[in-house]
This record gives sequence, structure tokens and C-alpha cells, in this order.
Amino acid sequence: MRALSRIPSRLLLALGMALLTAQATAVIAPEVGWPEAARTGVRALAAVLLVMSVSDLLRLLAFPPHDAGRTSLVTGLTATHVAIAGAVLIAAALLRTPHRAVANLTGYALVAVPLLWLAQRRAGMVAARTAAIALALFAFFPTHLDVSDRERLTYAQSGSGFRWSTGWPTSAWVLRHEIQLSRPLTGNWSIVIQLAAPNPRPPRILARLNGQDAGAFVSSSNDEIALHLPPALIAGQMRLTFEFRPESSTTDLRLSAHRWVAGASLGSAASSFFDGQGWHTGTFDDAAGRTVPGVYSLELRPD
Amino acid sequence: MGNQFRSARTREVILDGLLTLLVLALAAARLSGANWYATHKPIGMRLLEGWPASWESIYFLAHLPTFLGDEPSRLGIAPVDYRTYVNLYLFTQVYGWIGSAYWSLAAIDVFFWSAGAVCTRHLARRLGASDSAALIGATLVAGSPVLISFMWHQDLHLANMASLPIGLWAAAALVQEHRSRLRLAASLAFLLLYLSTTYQYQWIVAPAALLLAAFHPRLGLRRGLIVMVGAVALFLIFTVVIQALLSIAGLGPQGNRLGAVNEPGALVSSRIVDAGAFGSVLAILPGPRHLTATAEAYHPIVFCAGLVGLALLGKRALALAALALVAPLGFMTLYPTPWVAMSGYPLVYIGAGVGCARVSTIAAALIHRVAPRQRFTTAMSLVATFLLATWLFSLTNLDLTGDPSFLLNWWGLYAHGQIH
Repeated sequence: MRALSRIPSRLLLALGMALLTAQATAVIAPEVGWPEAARTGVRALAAVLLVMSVSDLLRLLAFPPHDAGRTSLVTGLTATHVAIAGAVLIAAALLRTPHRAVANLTGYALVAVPLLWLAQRRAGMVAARTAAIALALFAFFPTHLDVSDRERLTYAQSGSGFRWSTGWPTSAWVLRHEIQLSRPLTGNWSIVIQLAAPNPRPPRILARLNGQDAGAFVSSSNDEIALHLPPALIAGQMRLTFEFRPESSTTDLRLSAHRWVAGASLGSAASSFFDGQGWHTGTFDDAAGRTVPGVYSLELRPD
Repeated sequence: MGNQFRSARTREVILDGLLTLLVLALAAARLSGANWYATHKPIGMRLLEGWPASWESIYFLAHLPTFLGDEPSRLGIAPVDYRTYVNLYLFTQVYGWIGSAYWSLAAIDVFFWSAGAVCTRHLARRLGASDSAALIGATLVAGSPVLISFMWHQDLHLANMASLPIGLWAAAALVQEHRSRLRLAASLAFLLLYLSTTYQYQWIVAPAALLLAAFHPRLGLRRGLIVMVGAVALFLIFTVVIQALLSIAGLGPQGNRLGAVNEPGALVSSRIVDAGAFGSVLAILPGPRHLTATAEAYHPIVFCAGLVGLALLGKRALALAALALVAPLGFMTLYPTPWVAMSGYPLVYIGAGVGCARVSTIAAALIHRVAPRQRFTTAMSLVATFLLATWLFSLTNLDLTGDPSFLLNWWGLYAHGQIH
């Protein structure tokens, strides 16, 4: 009886939310246009319904009702019926793209079976049916989308607290990075620097190592430049001090810098720059125009 | 009776809620502070919607159009995608709702991480651990390197490691609550299928389920073996059907993603071929360095505490402990990574929880001899348990206080040589 008395109030609440959403849609329509307003309205209503079903499910899972083992009193629908109905709706919505229908229905089935089993064994059939409703709603809503492929990852971003770009604003600038080793270096090594954006033909960058010329970097991939270190310069060294500057007086090449200093052998003191007047610890976010604590994105790699 | 039931439920909900809050707190601390992968290999990091993620997040991002786009799929479902199919599917659906790829990945990660900790607690109770031991074990899982190291990494292992405690708990629940062997075989088959689409832990959970069945009074080894053979056969049929379905729908594996992950069968065969017929057996046997690496991945003290605690839990847990130790050592010879070394981690942490609880019981008994007041003894016992658990927890979480040595050593077990 408790379930019976609860259902109408849930339906009324849902109906009320639908009316409110319709009204809100009508209010924003003159500003954004009816199609966009309708999309926003449907999305908001679907989100409200999903939140309602998930909160119902969580409540049932946390505190299962005493009639947990009974079938649905209201409609006779079991969780399996609801889950299958959800699958049919998803399939119908995705008939336009069969590959997408198969991909989504496979995922839906792989999630539905353990979810319904979990809800059923923990809190009975009512909870299982609520779980099925929530999952069907969750999986059905995105069927109207058409997401295309695009580049989403970037190397650096001006003003970012995580990764930013740095470079040589004037010909007087020098970038310096120091590495403290735990034992004397032996063998062949390269220093690799990550660029702030892919650049298949970067301008030449010259390096000095412990005060001596070490050569020019070459492009090692679309987004990295590398320099094989002369063995004579590194053999037996415990500390490597690199200084980088472009070959030409002006360059638009930008390197990546980041905030995670704990892994650098010298921590936050590892990177520094010379701006023509003096040395400053940290890095210079050239797009934001300010000094930022951090280190350059580079690695010493064994060849 | 009803009130007792309700208060027990409330207690369960509170404990599970606290574990979830702990996971959220640890995740938040790692976003603003020590991101494990970014500290180990900052050059491998990128920005996704302005937030840090590893370059490997491309594996998930590239599949948004497969699940949410109308254009024919360019990629298909390669092995790298199939072994995380459920997480991939859920990620795309969450993206469909919130429109942020970064927070969709994070939501899936945190959800399964929390579920892993909660399932560890329930698994521990099923294995006979006390309430406090189970809670300590679950807390150690929440702070475990195998889960923390992948948070905010957003790589192709998104939330994968959390499927082990979920799978082990589900296997224990299915075996202990089964009513018919046929249904048990079918349920275990689906569990193996689920695990094969959330990582590769079906090869750990299948023998674990067999052990659980062997110790079950109504099953035993012979019936358990029949059930497991049926389950594995059914699982293989399910797998073939799904892969065929995907292939027919034009989602067969394509392009350069085919070699992105190592398949266990291919690894074994390549190792045998490399070693030659004579040395093939020796080549796939683990050695002392694999054991050392395993202990280092957990932290040697946590590892030893785990093994001691499991031994205290009885024969069934001891058998599972042997599995938790031996199987990862075998896998380590094929793919030596810290997360493979920790392929029995829920059991080891449960053991550590049991060890903590036992030590505090002994401490309480000693205190009681010196000062025989019950309330004082109980309070001291609780303090001892808390301090011991906090100490074990802190051994692998020192990065929160600015000491990255453990995290660098942990990732160094996978890849070392780069210095920055």
C-alpha cells in the first residue's frame, strides 16, 4: 500500500516539473529561438526525471522497504520489462545509425544486468524496477545527439594553473634548467623538450651544457625537439645545467611548462629564465605575461 | 527487531558513505596537489578542457562519435576498447548529459573507485573479517596506489583497477547465495563477461570463484569445478557473440589501435618463442625480483601486514591469499608493471586490515592486564587501531605532505630512466 500511495505523488511531481519546464522554455524562447529553447527544456526535464529516479533508487538501496520482495503493485511491470522497453526505445531512436545502435545496446545490456541484479538482491523488485527506469532514461536521452570527432587535447593554455607556454620574448632571453643526478652519468643520453603546440618544422634551438656548447636541437616528433648530448660533456657528471636560446634573434617557438615540480630533481628551483636584466626562478607564461612557479616540460632520456 | 535491522542498515550506509567521502577527498587533494602520473611523467600530460589529463585520454575521447555520433565509426572496437567497454560506454553517456569530457571521465573514475572501496568492505565481511578489520581494509583500498595513481590520469585504464574488488565481492555473493548450480554458472559467466569488458580481471576472479566454491559446504571442489567450467565456457560463448555482433555492425577492430594493449595469450606465446622450447618453462616462472617488485608496489610493510592478516583469516582466505600472491607473480613475468603486481590487492588490503585489528586486540589485552578498566581498555584499543591503520595508510600517501618518493618509486617500477 505504501508503494501505491507513493506513485501518484511521484507522477504529480513529474507532471509539475514538466509544466514548469514548459513555462521556462516559453520564457527563454524569444531570446534563444524555439528550437534551442525546446532542446534546453527537454534536457532540463530529462535531468530532473533522472535525478528523481536516481534519488529514489539510492533511497531504496540504502533503506529497502519491508515489502522488498513483492512485484510491482501498480502496473505489474517488472524490472526486466522496463529494461527491455528501454532497449526497444534506444534501438528505435538509433535506427538511423545501426552501428551506433549496436554499440549502445551492447553497453546498455552490460550495465543493465549487473545493475538490476544488484538492486534486486539488495532491495527487491521495486528497487530493481526503479534502477531499470533510471538506466533507461540515462541511456535514452543521449540518443538525439550527433557528436563529431574533433581535437580536444592541448599542450598548454595561457593562464592555466596546470600547463602554460613559455618562450623567448626578446633575443636577450635565456631559459635554464638544472638536473641533479643521484649518481655520475654514464652512457648515451638525450634531452627532450616538449613544445607548446605541434610544430613539424620548429626553428633551431641551441643548448649549452655546464657552460659549454652542446649543439642544436632537432625535431624528434611533431611535438618534441631533442638533442643527443655529447658523451664527453656528460660523462661522470652529477649536475647538468642547461641553457637554451634560439639560433635566430626572434622566434615564435613556444615550449610547455607545468606546475608539477615534485618530480623534478631540484624541485621548484629546477627551472629559471634570464630576461636581459637578471635571473628569475620559475617560468615565464609569455601569453599571460607573468612569472609562474613551475618547471619546463623536458626529460633526460637514455638513448 | 525492525529497529535493529534499520539501525544496522543505517550503520552500513554511513560506513559506505564515509568511504565514498574519503575517495572524493583523496581525489580532490590529487587534483589540486600531487597528481601521481603528472609528477612522474609531466611530459606525458595534456590539457583537456583546461584540466590536466594524460595523452592516453585520446583513447576514450576518440570514441565519443562511435557512441554519440551519426557518422560511420572510423575506429571500431579494438581490444584496447573492448577491455574497457563498460567504462567507455558509461563515459560517453555521461558526456551526453553534461557535455564535458573531462568531468565525465572523472565521474566514472570516482564512481568506480568508491564502488571498489565499498565492495572491499563487503568482501572482507563475507570472508569473515570483523567490522573494524573490513573498514580498515576498505580504507587502505581507497588510499591504494593502484587506484590513486590512475586518478586524473584519464588514460586507457580509466577506473579499470576498481573492477577487481567489485568482481571478487560479486563472485563471493553469487557463490554464497546461490540456489541452483545452473543459475550460478550463468551468473558467474556474466560476471566474467563484465570483468572482461572492464579490464582483464576475469582471469583472477575465475580461480577465486572456484576456491570460494570449493570451500562452500553445498558445492565443494568437484561441483565447483563443474560450475566453473560451465561458467567459463558460457563466458567464451558470450564473448564470441558480442564480438561477432560488433563486427557485423561495422565495429570490428581497425587502424593503429590494434597494438595498443598486450593480449595475455600473445604475451605467453611470444615469451615462449623468445626463450626457445628448452627454456620456455623457466622463462615464464617468476623470480625473486618479481616478488621484490610486488612488495614494493604495495610498500613492503603493507604487503607483509596483508599476508600475515590473511593467514589469520582461516583456510579459505589463505587459499585466496595464495592466489592473490602467485597469480600476479606469474603475470609479472609477462607484463612487469606495478598495477599487475597488485592484481590481488583487495585481498592483501583486507589482510592488512585484519592484521591491524588483531594487533589492537593484543594491545588491548596487554593494557587490560596493566589497567583492568573496561572503558579505558576499549578506548586504548580503538586508539591503537586508528594509529596503526593511519600509519599503514600514510606509507603510500606521503605525497600529500610533499614527499613524492613513494609515488616516483611506484611509477618507476613501470618505467624508469627518465629524469627531469
